[in-house]
Formats: sequence, structure tokens, C-alpha cells
Amino acid sequence: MVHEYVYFMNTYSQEQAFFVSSAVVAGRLLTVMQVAKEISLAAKNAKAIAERAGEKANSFKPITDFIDEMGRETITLVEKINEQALEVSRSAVEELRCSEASERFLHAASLLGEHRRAEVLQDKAKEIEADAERQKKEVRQQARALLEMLERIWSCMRASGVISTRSRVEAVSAEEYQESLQVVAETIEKASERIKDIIRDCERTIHQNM
Amino acid sequence: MKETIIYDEGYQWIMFGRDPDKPEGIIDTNQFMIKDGTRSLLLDPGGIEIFSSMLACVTRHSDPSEITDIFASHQDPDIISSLGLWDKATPHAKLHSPWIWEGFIRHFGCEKIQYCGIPDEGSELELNQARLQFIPAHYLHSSGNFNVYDPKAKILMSGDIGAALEPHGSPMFVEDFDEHVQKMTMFHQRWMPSNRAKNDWVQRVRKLDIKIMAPQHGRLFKGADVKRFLDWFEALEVGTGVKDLASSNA
Repeated sequence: MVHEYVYFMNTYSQEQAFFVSSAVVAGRLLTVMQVAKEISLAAKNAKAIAERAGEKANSFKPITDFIDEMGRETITLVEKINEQALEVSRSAVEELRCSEASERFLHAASLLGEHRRAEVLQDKAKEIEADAERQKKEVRQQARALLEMLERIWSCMRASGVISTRSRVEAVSAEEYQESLQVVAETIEKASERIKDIIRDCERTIHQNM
Repeated sequence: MKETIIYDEGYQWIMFGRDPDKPEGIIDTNQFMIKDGTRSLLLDPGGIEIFSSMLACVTRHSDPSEITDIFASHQDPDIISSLGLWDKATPHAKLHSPWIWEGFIRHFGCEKIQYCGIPDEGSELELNQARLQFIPAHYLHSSGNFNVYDPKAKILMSGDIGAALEPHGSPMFVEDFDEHVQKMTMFHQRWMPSNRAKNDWVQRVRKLDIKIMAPQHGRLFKGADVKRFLDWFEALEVGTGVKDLASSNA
């Protein structure tokens, strides 16, 4: 699959690849969304266990609230990033269309040779190329914003590493609920690692086209 | 791309086709332009692959800003997939095309050009001197389909009706109708789905005074060959794809 993707990307020029890579990022973010939902679910599960454990898991309760909040924040962020990634893809498609149109106008002008209207088509090509340049700048700007948003998720996931360590510590004092809470901590840890992997991959994909 | 002026009395009908630069594997198409003073109409301007050649040809006759109207007989890619590029070349133009295809044709890119849906019963378009009629040709082959008739020039641009599959570089006009039939038969039998629609169209078109019938593929018909075509087409059974399927299943 990775090989297929690399081959696919290599068949496009750098500008052309942006509309593909940002759409790929949008697709990959759907997985992040699913994993973030798993985190939220784990938080709800932890909350229920903490309720049952009563005083034995008192110190665990604020952590569950934090995890829940983090899960929801991740989902909201992913939704925004997804919109942004699709926006990048749309702008990149427009850039590509303008570039292609400009090339075709120039080709038409060359077919006209010395004809007096060849200049009209050359001017039109320049106009469209200027649109393509504007679009290109917009794509780069949007891509930078996209990277910043991905960075925010990354920060969230870094915090989750701290939380899962803290959860393990607090779980020890929860006596018979220790094992359940350990499972919750482990789920969160694994989920955040997975999200970090995907985010790293997404960032790499975007950087390749910057 | 070869250019042929097929009418030149006050305004011009120009045919573009037989493009030697056309990539292999795509069907050859005839494009038409009516240049009427400061207004020009492109008829079935073609696909993306021939856009540059077409734009160069058109620009020889008219400034792109004077292309005020475009006609697309139906939604096929060889008819109008270049729309997204014409949208950049002629942003002030109007596109006249069957109303039923608007949502589909817009997929080719139509941000600035204004889509003017032609009602099922047809309509008219006036340029400067030219007064054109959009003649219904539904189901021949597309379910929303029009021909363009010019009563002054006596030209019927018939879209896929009368089309022939021919090798590259064939002549512009039919020279031997009987010999030409073999190049049209499969196309009409397989691409045209409805005998009822076909006969309805033949009746409608017989009432028109036609000197030249200009299809979108292959050669043009002139003079007595127009009537020969109508007679041949009326007698032809179309929609044979279903029949062929039934016999191969038997």
C-alpha cells in the first residue's frame, strides 16, 4: 500500500501532488477521529469505574474528566483539520487547473504563430498563470495553517502520555479496581501513540510538498 | 486542425475537424462556429484534448471576447468536456444546453459561463443576423439532446445523428452515400436507443429545408444526400444492443 502511494505521488509534480497529499491527509484524519472517539469512550469507562470505586478512586476522577475533555478536543480539532485539509486540496486543484489552462492557452498561441491574435492568447495565459501563482501562495498558506493544527493535536497527545503515566500511578491505590483502571490507562496510551504516528505521517506528507 | 467554411453570406459557418495533433485513441470530432459580426457561437466545442487546437482555430476568426455563446447538444465528454477551459477563455459567454444536463455538465467546470437550459420543446437563439433554432433530438442518442437549425443558411447541425466512424483524414462531405452507409450503420444501431424517438425526429426534420446536414463525427451530407440519409435512418432499426444481448444469452 505504501509503495503504491509512493509510486502514485511520484507520478505527480510537486504542485500537482499537493491536491493529492492534502486529500490523503484528510482521509487519514478519519482514523484519528475514530481513535479519539476510543479515547472518549475509555474516559467514560474510567469515569464509571471511578464512580463504582468511590473513595478508593477519588484521585482518579479528575483525571477521567481531563481525558474526556482531551478526547473531545481532539475530535473538534480533527474536524477543523479535516475541513482545512480539504480546503488545501480544493485550492491545489484550482491551482492545477489554472496551470494546465495556462499551458493550453500558450500552446494555442504557438499554433497561431505570427497571427495578430497570438498575443491575445499569450496575455490570457499570463493572466491565468497569475491566478495560478496566487492560488499557489494560498495553498502554501493553508498548508502552514494545517501543520499548525496538526501540531496542536500532537501537543494534546503529548499531554496524554503524562496522563496515562499518572493514571497508572493512581490506579495502584484503587485496590480491586486497579486492573480495570490500568486497562483504561493502557487504552489511552495506545490510542495517543497511534494518533501521534498518524499525525507524524501527515506532517511528513505535507512537508514533502512544501 | 482543418477548417472549412460551409456558409458565407452575411455571416459564416465554419467547421473545424480532422485534427492531426489529436491524441490517439480518442474519437475524431467536428466542431462548428458561427461567426456573425461581433458575436460568435461555438457548437459542440469538443473535449479537453483538442482545446488548444480549437482555441487557436477559433482565435484566427474571432477574438475570444467575441465568443458570446456556446452550444452543447448533450453532455458527452467529446462534446463539452473542455468547458472548464472555455470558462477561462470566454467567461462572459452563455452556454445553451439541454436543461436536464445542467447539474451534470457543470462537473466539467462552469464558474463564470452562464448556463442557459434549453427546454425540452426547443427554443431559438438570435445572434446578429443569424436566427437559430434548437431542434429537439431527444434520445438520439442522449436523453436530452438538440440539433441546431439555421433556416437562412439551411444548415442542420445534427450532433451524433448522421455520425460515421471513419479513419483519420476522411473527406469533409459524403461522396457516395451507399458506400458511406456501412460506416454509419453500427454507430446508429448501437448508440441510438429508440425507434420511436428516431421516427419522431425524422418526421420533424423532414419539414425543414436543409442543404447541409452536419454531424459531429464523420462527413457532412449535402443536397440529395440529406433526404437519402433521412430515408435510410427511418428504415433502420436502432437500439440493437439489447437484441444482440438477448441472442447471445439464448
